Amino acid sequence: MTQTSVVLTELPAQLEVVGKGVPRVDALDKVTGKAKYTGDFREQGMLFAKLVRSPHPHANIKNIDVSAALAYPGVKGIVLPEDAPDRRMGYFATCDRQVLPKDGRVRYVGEPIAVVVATTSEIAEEAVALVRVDYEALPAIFDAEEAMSPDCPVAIHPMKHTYSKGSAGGAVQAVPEIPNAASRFKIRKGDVEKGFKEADVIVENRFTVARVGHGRMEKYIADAWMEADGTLVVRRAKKGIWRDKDWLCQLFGLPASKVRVMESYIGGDFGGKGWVAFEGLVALAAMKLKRLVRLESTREEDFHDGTMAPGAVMYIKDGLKKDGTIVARETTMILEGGGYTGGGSGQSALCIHNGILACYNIPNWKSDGYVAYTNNPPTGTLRGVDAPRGSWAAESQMDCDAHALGMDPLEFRLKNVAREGDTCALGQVLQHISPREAIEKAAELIQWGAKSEGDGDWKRGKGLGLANYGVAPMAPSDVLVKVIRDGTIEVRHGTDEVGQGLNTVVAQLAAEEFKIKTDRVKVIFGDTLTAPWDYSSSASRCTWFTGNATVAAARDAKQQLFMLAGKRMGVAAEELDTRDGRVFCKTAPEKSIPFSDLFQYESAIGHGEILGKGYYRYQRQPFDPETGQCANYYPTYPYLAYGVEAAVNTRTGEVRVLKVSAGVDVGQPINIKMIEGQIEGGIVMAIGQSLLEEVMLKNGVHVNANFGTYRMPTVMESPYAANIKVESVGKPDPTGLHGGKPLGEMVLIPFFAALGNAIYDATGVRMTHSPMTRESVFWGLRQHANAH
Amino acid sequence: MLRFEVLHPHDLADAFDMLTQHEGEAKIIAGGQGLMPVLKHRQLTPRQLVNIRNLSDLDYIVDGKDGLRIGALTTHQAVENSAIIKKRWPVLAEMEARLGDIQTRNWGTLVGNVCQASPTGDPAPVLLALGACLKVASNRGERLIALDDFFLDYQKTALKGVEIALEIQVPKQPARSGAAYHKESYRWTDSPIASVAAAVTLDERDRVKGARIFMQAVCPAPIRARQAEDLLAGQQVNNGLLDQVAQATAGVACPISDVYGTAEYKMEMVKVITRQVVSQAIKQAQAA
Repeated sequence: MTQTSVVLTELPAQLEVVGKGVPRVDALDKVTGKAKYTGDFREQGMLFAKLVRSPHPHANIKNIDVSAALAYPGVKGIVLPEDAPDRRMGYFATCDRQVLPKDGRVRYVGEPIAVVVATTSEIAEEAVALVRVDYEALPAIFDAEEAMSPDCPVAIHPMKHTYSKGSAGGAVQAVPEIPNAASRFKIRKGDVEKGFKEADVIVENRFTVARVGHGRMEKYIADAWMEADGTLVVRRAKKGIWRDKDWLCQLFGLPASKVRVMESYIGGDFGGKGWVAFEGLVALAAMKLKRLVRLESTREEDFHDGTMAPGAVMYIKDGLKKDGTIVARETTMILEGGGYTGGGSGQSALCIHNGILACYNIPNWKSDGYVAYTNNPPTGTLRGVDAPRGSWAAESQMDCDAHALGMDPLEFRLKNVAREGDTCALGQVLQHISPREAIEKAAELIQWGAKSEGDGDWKRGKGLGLANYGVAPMAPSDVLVKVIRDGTIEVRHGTDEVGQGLNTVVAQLAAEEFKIKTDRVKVIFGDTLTAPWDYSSSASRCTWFTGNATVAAARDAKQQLFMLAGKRMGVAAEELDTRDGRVFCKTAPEKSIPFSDLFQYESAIGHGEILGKGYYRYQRQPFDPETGQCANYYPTYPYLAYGVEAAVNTRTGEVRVLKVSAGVDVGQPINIKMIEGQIEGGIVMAIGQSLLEEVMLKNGVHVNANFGTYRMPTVMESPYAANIKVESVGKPDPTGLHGGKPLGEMVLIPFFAALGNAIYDATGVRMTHSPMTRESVFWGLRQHANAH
Repeated sequence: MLRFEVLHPHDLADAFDMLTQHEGEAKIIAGGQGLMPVLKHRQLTPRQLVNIRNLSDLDYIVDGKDGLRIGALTTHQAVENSAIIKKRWPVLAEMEARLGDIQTRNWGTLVGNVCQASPTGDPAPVLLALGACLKVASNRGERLIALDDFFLDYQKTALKGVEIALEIQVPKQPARSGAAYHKESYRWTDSPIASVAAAVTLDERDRVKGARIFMQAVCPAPIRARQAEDLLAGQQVNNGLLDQVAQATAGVACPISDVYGTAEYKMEMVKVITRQVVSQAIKQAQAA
């Protein structure tokens, strides 16, 4: 068995399955209700867990009395901090989370303190109320800027200097000199002071954005049990089976062979199904009680544990020449991380820049990104990992810049847009990019320049936004491809179908290699016993990483197939190709043989099956933490531009999104239907986050942890599908898979500012806080009317 | 955990007996759309739920010579889609179309919503503006309560624990009458940030002969804007008067700041909506 990593250079015209809008391979399973989710599994005799949670935002635990709860009929056991390992976990940046508060301190309302296990979840819930915890309340802090102040009286993680970095934590730094700073990321490119001196005009603004949640349908749920040989098995509605396996091994000091992690289809992720704390809790209970234990959150709990996207305060200063050139940019961005950032938000000090750092050619750039600890519930990753936040500030700023110079926002963007060979803010040379084409297409499709007419109380306007997105080169992917004697191709991958369509993409890629239809491909995933190593469905990496490994594995399998067929047919392997379950001779296609004959012939000498293996990895150059400069930080740079036409009700402040246009640079698209689907879904999600959704907290307590008042858009708040226009404009990226580049998270990023810019165009009101709720627009209009 | 018993009466008499037997401890459940959230948040902790959903003869819409009668088990969906209501009482159909999502409208009943007396319920202000009454009964007999006297305070009504509301009665409106309702809400079917209903009757010279204006979501219970009604009385309406009426209506609102917005914003929305519904009601009356 060989390992290969390949670069694909076929022309799009030669592709038969890739690039086509084939239906999803899981569509039938899902629409008929046959698809299995974690909650569909029930086992006889399983136990149910509920969590004792802190009512305090910041407190020391003095004593936990479980006697009454333990005596409650039906209670089988209680897991306490003393049962938990003394180890802090986290991914990327900062390992600051404990499974249970081993250090005796709670840092947010809702923090788990103990796990009560009983025969039913109702009994467990009743027993939770019987656990008596004595607390010593500590002063708490909820505002990120106050927390970051050097004389803040509250230190939330006094031992933070002892915390380690997560597995992918190279890019961000610890900040020992600021007591409540969880992490920092710095960009130092060129000489920003010199740039501002050369500038004719300086534009400075402050933008803010609220904390938002994922709003996925499926809540957290995890089962854990012990096998007879001492293997810990965890089956959960989370992504990253191999990542969780590694974490669980580290957490409990278990050898790799003694942890098995499983998953099914996942009912929505949006970045929130990656963190491991829940699995740690249920595994702890299973190990202590030697029973199968299930932990399932309520919708309210899902908000507590949900690794929401942090709120942020962003200062941005641009230096401009009169001709429209941006000569310098300086930003300070502070994210409100909550009590813990190990769920991924530690990395946001970097990621908040990830939608803006390669859009325009800005020679002098200085940025400081910080994540601050507060006593609000913890934060983590959400689609785009806070790139939408940075983009909200920077792309709003682009319009402010243009207006300060008296320029059209499109003209100003085109003046500065990144070109082939420019360097991005991280110092990487940009190649195979089409941001200009993306923004021009978005402008064309929204009919930029044609003034849209209002109607009565409704004023209309248009806005633009541009984003790049760096697919994170986190960890390699392995894929196995089997050739089965009936002509079926089986692909085994170790990442996740979170709803994004990965199984369809890998099926298309394998089908392309074997020139068969996707329904002849079987995709197997979701169990560390049967699936090969992969990282996780994170950072829009799967098409690039898992996809490349799939093609490599398919080519390895084909090579073996051709060797086998060559012997049988008396032809050299290089002379052979395959189509529709047959191997044929390229020069004499009538000479062919079905797969089934090959296996019959060869099985006598030991070939029962053919197993191809492929992998993909990305080697990053050294990274300088003092400047953020790296020669190849990201493997590729996709782009997306949105044009938004919106109507604003001048009496009520209500905003309606009427039309959206998208110019997409994802190189050669792998599945245009799924690209349109991702963009339509992304627009609806972005409408929610920019107009309606806001996690409201009062002294660290959730005020709207439900779908009644955490308002996600319905079809009534979404534009007609016919009013969303998507066009792909990218040129193939030869370093990419079939010339393709990733898309998944980018669909959210440039929307916020494009909408804010449309509101400005309609009304003259510059919104500086997102969500742009109808009330905030109303008062903005009132203020604007009073000022003019 | 909240534990309660669900009782299934065979008929109304059976239901009356159950309520009398468990007076003060039992609650009626029909569609459950208002009650379930209240139970979930432990705002009520009844020992018994008397399920009247399966009783026959309480699901009807009748538009007779005296006016409209809607039975206690008539769902929001049935009201929304009733041809006779769409034609003769469009304000009710329009109100129902934005009440909760489709699942809520399929289960929930109009009368149940009124009895729940949620301060954000959409039907109450509309029915109040139309001068509706509620027919209620117990094993001691029937009585008619004007909705004007029904809503006492936050989730408090004149309905006694042993009584069941049987039907809503909306009197036939005089000639040259019109009614309108509007809510401002985040999403199309969300609970209101503020809402106002107005019913207006004009004389032959378009002067206001009678007006009833009610607000919802800006007070613990629906509230009447009498001063605004007085401003309209005998007047031909113009923009200046509409401003005064809007101002006067907002003058009696007492909103609180919450997840639906600040008190100040709700007050502003009351003014916007009042202008809108009063002019709409007048247009309708002129067309009638």
